Amino acid sequence: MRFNAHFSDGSSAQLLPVSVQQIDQTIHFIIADNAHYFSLEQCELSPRIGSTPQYIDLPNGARLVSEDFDALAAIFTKQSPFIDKLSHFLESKWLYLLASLAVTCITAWWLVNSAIPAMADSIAKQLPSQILAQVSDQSLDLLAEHYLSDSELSLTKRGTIASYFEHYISQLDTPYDYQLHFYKGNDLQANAFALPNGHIVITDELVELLVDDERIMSVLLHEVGHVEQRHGLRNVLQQLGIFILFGMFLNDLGDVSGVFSGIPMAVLQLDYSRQFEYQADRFAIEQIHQADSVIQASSDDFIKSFELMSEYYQDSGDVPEFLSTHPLTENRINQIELMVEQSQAN
Amino acid sequence: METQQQGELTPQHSSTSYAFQFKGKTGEFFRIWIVNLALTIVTLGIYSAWAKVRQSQYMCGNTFFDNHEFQYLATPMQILKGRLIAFALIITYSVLSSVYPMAAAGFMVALVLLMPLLLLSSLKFNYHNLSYRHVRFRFTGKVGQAYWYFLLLPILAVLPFGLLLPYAIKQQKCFIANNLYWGDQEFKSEPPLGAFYGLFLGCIGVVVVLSFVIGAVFGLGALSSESGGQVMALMLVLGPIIYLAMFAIGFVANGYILRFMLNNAQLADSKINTTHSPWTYGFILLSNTLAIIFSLGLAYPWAKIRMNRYLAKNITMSKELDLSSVAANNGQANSSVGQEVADGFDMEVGLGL
Repeated sequence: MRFNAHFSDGSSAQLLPVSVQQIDQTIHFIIADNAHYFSLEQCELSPRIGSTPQYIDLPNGARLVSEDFDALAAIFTKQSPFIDKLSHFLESKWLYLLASLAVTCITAWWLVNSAIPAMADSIAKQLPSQILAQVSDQSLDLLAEHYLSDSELSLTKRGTIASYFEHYISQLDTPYDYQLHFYKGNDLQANAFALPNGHIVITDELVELLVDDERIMSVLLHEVGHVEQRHGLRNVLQQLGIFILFGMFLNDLGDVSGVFSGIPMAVLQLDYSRQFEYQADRFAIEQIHQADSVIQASSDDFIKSFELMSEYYQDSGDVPEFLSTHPLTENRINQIELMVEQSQAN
Repeated sequence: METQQQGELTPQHSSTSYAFQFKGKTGEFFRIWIVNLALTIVTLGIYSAWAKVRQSQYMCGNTFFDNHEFQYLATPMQILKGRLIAFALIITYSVLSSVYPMAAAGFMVALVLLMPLLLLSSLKFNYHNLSYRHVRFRFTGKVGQAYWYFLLLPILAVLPFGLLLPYAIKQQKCFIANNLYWGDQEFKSEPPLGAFYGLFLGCIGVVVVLSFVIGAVFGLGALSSESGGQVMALMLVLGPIIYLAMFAIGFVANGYILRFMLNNAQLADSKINTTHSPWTYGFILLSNTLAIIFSLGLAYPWAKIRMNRYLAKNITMSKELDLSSVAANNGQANSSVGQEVADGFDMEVGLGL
């Protein structure tokens, strides 16, 4: 077997055309009347990549370059490593290519929808409570310092809400040490949020907006849902997962990656955030149904709270749902109504 | 856009200059890329090191200069090591930033202080692993220089209202170009400083005009409608356009900088010349970016090949240097850690060579 190649001795950029002949387990060629012999075991063939030339590295730093792929494949039968063989094999047929595309899409879908949430959940369960407390305290300190100020609600109002809340918590089987904080929201406006260790903040503005204790309780139950289901931590971990996933695949996109990978990444992260909101809503509704002796709240109070908040924020649906952290009010109410219907059917 | 459709696959034969020719094919590269993606995802990222080598070698091996191809020499194991370290750093940073923001800030400062070192080792690694005619390229920049050009100079340049920025950019690019060797032959490039200032003024002019237009549109929008909804809607439409326009300006500016650098560059006595238009270059980059976004990434192989073809078609080098006479100078190897960490944190340097 023969093939044409260019020879270079590695000391300069000089390339000499040679005709290489294979005899049994050796190759040989002639340069300036000198014959060169190498056993195949001494030679290393570079993997086949598309139609780029292949290289044969010779023991003394010299090299042969050739594009005679068929001859090279026939001569170096044992050479190329498994991984490169596999890649080249897959690349060679459109059918395998379609399969690759399908595998990519299915795996990506599975990672985003199942694997990352499952992993985030199991890590969130194992995180020690001291860290949880530390993170929560830090966040609350930061918020109290920059946004929140002391509550201006009457002590009786605060007392009523707190006693409802405590009564509810006392019946809940939970590892968390719940505490309710009242603050004036200022720039944060009418708002309620939960920290991972069970500290829940409700702003004066929200209390004044919702008025009824039943409505306020329904919102607090939603926040308890975030705590019980560890949403804060899981959200952070899932976002990290998405970040790693994107880093892994966009690494090779070079010039484009930095520019626009942020948008699809954010869309997926926001999707997680909205799923958590739905879950917290479901938690709240379940609690309302189960614990109706404690809390007088009904699903109608919950729906009314949504409507009031939507009005308050003048949420006119200008921002599409896939770009927001919370689902559209309409969709949340639909979910609640669906749950109520199902529980009545049972 | 260029109207003249030159035979893209045939080299421009010339008795006075060496030409580039890019032989990569979209379909072929697409296959390699999609298989790489599938294998990377099923191996949870491990295969990405092999993917990187195969793709880089596909690009280099299809880039011909004077009828001989380039070669990418890094091995998957080198790349994998670097990627694992970068991965560990990113995880550490992300965990820190969500649990202890202060510690994360310290980590970031340490990273910024290390950055020049990382960029330097990235440049060394990348050029050391690029070879042509079996002779390696080499980057000889020193640590002290890296700290000056990548850390101190940019900081100093921004201070007086950014007036020294064009100077800093020129110096940075020249640092890369003037420490580059192919074998025992040296690259040189000394573009005129005035060109960089001209470009800088041009960019500022465009941004100022754009801001006026946008301001006027918003002002009119706010006046003509009482409701905030319409201004919001206008913002949703205009926002992405402004975002794109900013990138477009950057892309075209990069096209100019590449032209300044190449048209003033030489390898030994051979002068490098490029006929690429910065506007076409910017247009290709912008349309590539949009195509990649709207195809959910599938257009990536096409975009990559398209840009390489365009540049290969336009860059030539005069024939003073006898290519076959160049001697190899095999400097020491460098680790891929710097390169991968730099990539991981989205830092990028290069001359486009």
